[in-house]
Amino acid sequence: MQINLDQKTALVTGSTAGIGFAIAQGLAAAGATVIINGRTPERVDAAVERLQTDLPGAKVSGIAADAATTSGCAKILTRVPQTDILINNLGVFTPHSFFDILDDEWNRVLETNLLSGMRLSRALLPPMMEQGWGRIVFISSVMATMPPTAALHYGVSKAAQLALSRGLAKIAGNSGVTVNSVLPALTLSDGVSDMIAATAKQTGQSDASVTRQLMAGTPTLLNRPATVTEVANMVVYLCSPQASATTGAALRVDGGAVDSIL
Amino acid sequence: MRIDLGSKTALITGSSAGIGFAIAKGLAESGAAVILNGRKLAGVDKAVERLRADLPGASVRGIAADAATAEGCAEIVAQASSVDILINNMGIYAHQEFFDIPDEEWQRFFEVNVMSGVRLTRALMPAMMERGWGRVVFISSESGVATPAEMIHYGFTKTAQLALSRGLAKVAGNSGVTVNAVLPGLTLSEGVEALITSMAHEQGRAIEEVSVEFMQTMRPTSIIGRLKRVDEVANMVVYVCSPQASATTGAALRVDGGVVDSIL
Repeated sequence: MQINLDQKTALVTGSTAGIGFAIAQGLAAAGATVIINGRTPERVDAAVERLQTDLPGAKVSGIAADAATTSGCAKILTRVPQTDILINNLGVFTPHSFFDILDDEWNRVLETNLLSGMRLSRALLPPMMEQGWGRIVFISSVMATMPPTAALHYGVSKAAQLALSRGLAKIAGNSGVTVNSVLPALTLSDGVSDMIAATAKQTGQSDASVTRQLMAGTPTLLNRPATVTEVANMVVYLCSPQASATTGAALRVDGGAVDSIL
Repeated sequence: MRIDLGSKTALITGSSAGIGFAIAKGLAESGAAVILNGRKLAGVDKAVERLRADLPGASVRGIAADAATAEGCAEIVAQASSVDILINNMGIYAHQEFFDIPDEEWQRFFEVNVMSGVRLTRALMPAMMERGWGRVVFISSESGVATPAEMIHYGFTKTAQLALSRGLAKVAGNSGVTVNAVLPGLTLSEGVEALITSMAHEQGRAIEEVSVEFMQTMRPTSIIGRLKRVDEVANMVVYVCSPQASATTGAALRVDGGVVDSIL
């Protein structure tokens, strides 16, 4: 099977590193024109450059804007009033005890993880429907179904993404636009790798031993974290013309972490 | 993204027509050597010939044996010897009111739709685990989640397949073998196509019009509001059989046009 996204434009939020960057890379490798997004021009420029080095000839540009804010989304939409593929990937994970998470932090997490995707979809879904083709993918998490007590606001934001994604799929209907979400479990993103390395250094353990302890928190059947590429592969498949009959679905790339038949 | 299944062998049960044939074609297009299966030799031979004509150069062979019986499964295992990909696709469905379904019919549905997959996976998965790579896919149905009142016995077997698939994913663990289920909705297979064509002829209306009305009546919650093509179902199966899908196991993947109104 050959997935070909030539002629398609894709906007990936929060894509200067980690899963977002891997998705941008996967879509660009399939021929899409990709727009990288991050908060600072330095990081966006570096990511664009890195992608062009990885994939010579890739069609890549960047927008420095904070998709977590109304003004940041407005800035993105001025530059990208229309796209064929929208990947709502931007998200933050900040573990805290529930009793220590104040309103401001709840608002920040919901703005970043949930409302960024809502705002961009509200603006970008209508032109997709009008042209009769489009793909929207929300990068949710297994924590949507297994809310973590150590970061309840994160779990709540990820569960809300599933409701948003399913509802938008209904609005898109039979227009040719599909809307889906992808549920990764622990993934070896740059952030997670850095955290593992830092913890290992602090506690004098090996990286492998810290990884094992992290995995014990969300055990998976594969017994290892996923790679960012494995998550990106599912996203690329969902964005393909081949995936035209999957919409309103939540697709797991979690190594079997959620112990449920659905 | 290019999915390359060169050097992999795939066995697809119930693949002389419909979704099974489309899966075989999709896997063969990606380079896999495919083994078609059906009950009757004539049907299998015809399907092998059709696939070879569609894809010149494809490695295709057939096994005529009834995967619904223990003897048939033994025959399939003997002839297939070892496979890298097993697609448990064979299945039957029939509309029947609950109060009219006798024990034997319940048992037959269980044998055909569930035990076929139990027997073949029990025989073929250990070697996959030993080699450190394999893919097992169960073709379940949205009816496994949204149990249809007009065929509870069918829905029940499709739910059982989800439990089987999830349990086998645990057995496979981190061996390199993934086990998943794919949930199609109502699909335009040869059987459904014939039904709609005959309805259109009878009513003197366009096939598309009848097809849309059929979906609105039969599956009012469908988001895409149309019947799926068999190749749309096959595409997801090919993806989940790919080396790229290595982190998805124990999952139920929907190709149902959004018909099940649930966030999961």
